[in-house]
Amino acid sequence: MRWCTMGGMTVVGICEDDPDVRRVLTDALRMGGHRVVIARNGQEAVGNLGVGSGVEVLVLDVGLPDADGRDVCQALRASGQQAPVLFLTAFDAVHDRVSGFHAGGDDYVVKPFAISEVLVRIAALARRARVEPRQTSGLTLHPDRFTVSVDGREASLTPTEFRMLAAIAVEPGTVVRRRTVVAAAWPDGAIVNENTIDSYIRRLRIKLATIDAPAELATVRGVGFTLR
Amino acid sequence: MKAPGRTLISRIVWTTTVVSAIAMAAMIGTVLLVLAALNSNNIDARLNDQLSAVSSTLTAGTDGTLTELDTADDSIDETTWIYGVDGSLLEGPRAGRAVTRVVDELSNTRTRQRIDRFEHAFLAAPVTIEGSLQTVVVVETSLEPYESTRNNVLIGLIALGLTVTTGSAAVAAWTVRRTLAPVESMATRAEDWSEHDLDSRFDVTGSDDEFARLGQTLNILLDRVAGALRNEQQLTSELAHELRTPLTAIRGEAELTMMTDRSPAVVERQERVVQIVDRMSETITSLLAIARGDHRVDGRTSTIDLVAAAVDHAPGGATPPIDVAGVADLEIAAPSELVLRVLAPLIDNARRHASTTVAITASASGRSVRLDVSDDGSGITAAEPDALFQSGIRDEGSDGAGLGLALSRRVARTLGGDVTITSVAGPTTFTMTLPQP
Repeated sequence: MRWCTMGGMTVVGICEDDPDVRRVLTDALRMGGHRVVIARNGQEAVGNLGVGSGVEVLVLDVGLPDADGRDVCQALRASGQQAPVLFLTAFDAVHDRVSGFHAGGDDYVVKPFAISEVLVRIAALARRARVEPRQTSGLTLHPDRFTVSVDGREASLTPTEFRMLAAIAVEPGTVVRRRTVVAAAWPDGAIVNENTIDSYIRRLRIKLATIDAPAELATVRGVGFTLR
Repeated sequence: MKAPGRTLISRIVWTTTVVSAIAMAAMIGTVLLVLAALNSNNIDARLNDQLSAVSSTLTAGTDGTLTELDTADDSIDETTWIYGVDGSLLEGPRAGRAVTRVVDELSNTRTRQRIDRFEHAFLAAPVTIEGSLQTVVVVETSLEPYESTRNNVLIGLIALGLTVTTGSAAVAAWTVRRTLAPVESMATRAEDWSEHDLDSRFDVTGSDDEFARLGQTLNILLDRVAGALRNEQQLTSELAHELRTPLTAIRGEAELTMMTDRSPAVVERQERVVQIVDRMSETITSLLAIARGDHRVDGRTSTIDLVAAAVDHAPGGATPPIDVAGVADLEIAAPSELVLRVLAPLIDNARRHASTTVAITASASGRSVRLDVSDDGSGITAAEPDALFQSGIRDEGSDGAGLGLALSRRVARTLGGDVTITSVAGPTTFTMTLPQP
């Protein structure tokens, strides 16, 4: 067993509910000279691992007690968090793995994993991490209760609405294709009627209007949707 | 699956055949009774006519003797006997002994008398001629034409009955089969869907007939089957998830220990922990795949490699020894990690109960590979040995959890094979069969 080096200190955000697994990961990273920011559930992840946390790589457990790790990832992405995400999952079915990528993940490992492998993957993600600043939507998504808020004004969403909005809010000003939205919001392989998507979008517009969202959810005909 | 006479179609056909046969038998009986009555009337009429005709030809001579006028019909003379008052035959044809005896019996009659003997009908009656001369006239006619007619009618009726009965059965079979064909088709599809395709349903839109209602009922049943299976798969998935997380921590702790302490003894022990965790993880993965129904079945496993891996994984070190000399080199059409889940519990079970040794043999059996795992222990005492394959059931004196054999059989059946007990004692043998490629 050899130490894995990341080429300097990296700030790694870990969201894992199991204390034993969390401690093993934390110890391994700290032994390598890295700083670790911890979250024990989805709610803490949105609060502790967001844009201002300085986290360079995120390690998210998929099976969190209060939220799905993939929804947490989408919420963080929607808030402007660009750090690469490594999912830890106990589910190894193809649709589980694919859905993690659709939710904005960059890599995954299946439990029980080898610590050395996780360290190598974190190092690889750290090297590829994007650092350029990006525009944010001004929306805050809460995966633990499926809501969106702006300056304390909060609107409830269905899980599907939440995932659609999160997928569109990842890059404000950029048109997100319909199939990308479908992949993020529905199970892998689902066939979703165009009218169904438009119906969801109309409901999202109404809900964003109720909280005076700073961005408008617009439809780009024949292509997809954007927040501007 | 469908025993003759047990299906609805066969029951309806049999019922139709029996009812038709009874009806035809009743019809034949009735016709024969009517025919017999008609024949009897015809014979009576014929005999009476003949008697009258003969009587009209008789006259009394001047000497008081009987005289018979000549008639154009000679056949009357062949079947007529005339007796005097003293019982002497005045005139009559020669006949066989039997007929003569009957006629003689009738010659003394004082009343009109009709009897049937020896396929002949006889009518005897006293006749008074010209008011004074007393005589007895006996006439006879053959019954053969009537009986021949009756026999021909009977043969025709039997032929008609058989034809009608057979035809009724054929028509009933065709009609019922045609009527129930959709039901049989739906039953076959429902059975297939319940095994292989839990998402398919019968299209019952736009119709409200009996078949649509049957389809709705089957759809409800399929929903329940699918729901039960999904719940089972969900439960298994969640259990696997709950087991994988602590395994992650155990494996991580072992790795961290090796990172901080590189002494050979520590590394050896921790690497063993990692190996055990990985093996448990493989087991969980296999079970999860079986629960989801998406396990690979296109793998190949060598019996030599399989037995070597199973023996290597078996707990208990080298005691008791395992004799693998009888393992032939064969291929099993299943992935090794799943086949190992079948064999390992059998070896574990045998080692628990063996006195001195465990023997494993592998041989080809038809299109299957057969592996026998035997031990020389005291044998199985359970009254129903097959019950040992139920979860939580274990033999008396066993210290196992009662899960290994159940899991072994379940995985084997998922792979298209089975695990059975082929000898309860001397030695105790569990046999695993799995398909060859």
